[in-house]
Amino acid sequence: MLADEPTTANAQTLEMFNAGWDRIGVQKKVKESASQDLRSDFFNLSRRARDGFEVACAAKDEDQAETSYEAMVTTLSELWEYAAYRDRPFRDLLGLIEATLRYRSTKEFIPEQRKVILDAFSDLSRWHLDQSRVDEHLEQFMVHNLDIESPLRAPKGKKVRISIEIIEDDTKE
Amino acid sequence: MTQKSKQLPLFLDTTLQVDRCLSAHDSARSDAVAKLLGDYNFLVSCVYSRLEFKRVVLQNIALILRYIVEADPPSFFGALLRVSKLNYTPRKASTLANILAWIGHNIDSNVQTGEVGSNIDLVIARRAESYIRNTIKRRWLWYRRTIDSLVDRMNCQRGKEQPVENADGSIDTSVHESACKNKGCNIANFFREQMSRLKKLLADLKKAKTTNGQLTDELEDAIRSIEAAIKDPTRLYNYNRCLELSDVWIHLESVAAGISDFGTTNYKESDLICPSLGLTKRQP
Repeated sequence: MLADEPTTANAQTLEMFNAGWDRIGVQKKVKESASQDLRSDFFNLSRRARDGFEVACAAKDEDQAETSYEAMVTTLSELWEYAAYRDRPFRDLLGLIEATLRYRSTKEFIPEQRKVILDAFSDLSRWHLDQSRVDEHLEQFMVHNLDIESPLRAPKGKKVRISIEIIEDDTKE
Repeated sequence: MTQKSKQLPLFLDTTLQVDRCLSAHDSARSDAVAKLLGDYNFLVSCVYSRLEFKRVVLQNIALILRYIVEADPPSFFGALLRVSKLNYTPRKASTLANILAWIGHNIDSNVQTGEVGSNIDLVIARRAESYIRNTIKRRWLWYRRTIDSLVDRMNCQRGKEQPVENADGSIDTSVHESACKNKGCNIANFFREQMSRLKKLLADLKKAKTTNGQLTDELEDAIRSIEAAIKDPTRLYNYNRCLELSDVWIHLESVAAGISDFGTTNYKESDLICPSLGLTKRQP
């Protein structure tokens, strides 16, 4: 039976239904807005990192180059906070760039190497990134003799020892 | 042909390629290798050596990667805990420790707590994953790119299997050993082709054993394996039997390619195999 007017029970259901939609709508808007904020923060950070590298390379003054370079490395570290929201190609590209640049300085890179690094930076700010594109960068880094393996090596002249102690969790019975 | 354009080839065995790959941060070692290579203008290696390289260099770090990604969500401290329980794998533990030090944790203070499954654990795991994955891919590409020619008279099928990326982010570097029995390679024919050289090598090894009293385990295995394969070369269509002759195969690939200068750091075996096969051993 179809009713022209909703019964009390139907009206209540309809009200709840609409309210639910509203809640979902609000949640969706909040999510969209948060997602846009996230993207915008991410783009700003990745551009800042790229610009930092460019400025460091172009700087005539050594202090300025060093300051920009260090700021760029810090920004790269901050980008890892976004890794949870990004896929593997992004993380691999970020890891590739960071492994090449951290604990180094602009003086260590020749112009051809700087160009290869800047190309990789350009893709870092893309939201959608193909793994094949990242692999191309990886190959270019290798062709131009850029070292990406330093995270796996002990610091020069040092050995790293980590002792592990398992701590009992008191909150669990 | 001018002196400059004359080809001076050097065959690089697995040990030398491993040295080239891993000694980048050891300037004395890499200078010594560079000095040796500087005397040549054409570098050659073989597919079988690349298989050894995969087994020795890539499988080790691929396993660490698997330890990290197999937890859900991925866990760095979980992997560290697991590796630390395996007392016989100090290299794996040191790789993870190096990554942690490189990222910057546990540097300034003596004690820090890292909880398995915490947010920091996940972030470090994601970073470590990327560094390791990139390193595995790079090293595989590196092997081919740093030489001018990769010969393969054995037509080694296992050596052609490149690392494969899995959906979970791990990289499969396994050697599909059981597939060797499918006879997809040229190993038995290669053995027959090189029979006279192998018989001479066998005689020389036996003579050296008599003179020196003892050979390395690898050379003892080689003697037994050559003797058995002379009777039946098809027995070599078996990964483990083929492996018993690994040093011999690599030297023979150099001979078959017509390259007399053999670059190696594996002096114990090459000291005997090189002169027997008419090769000149070159060490960094």
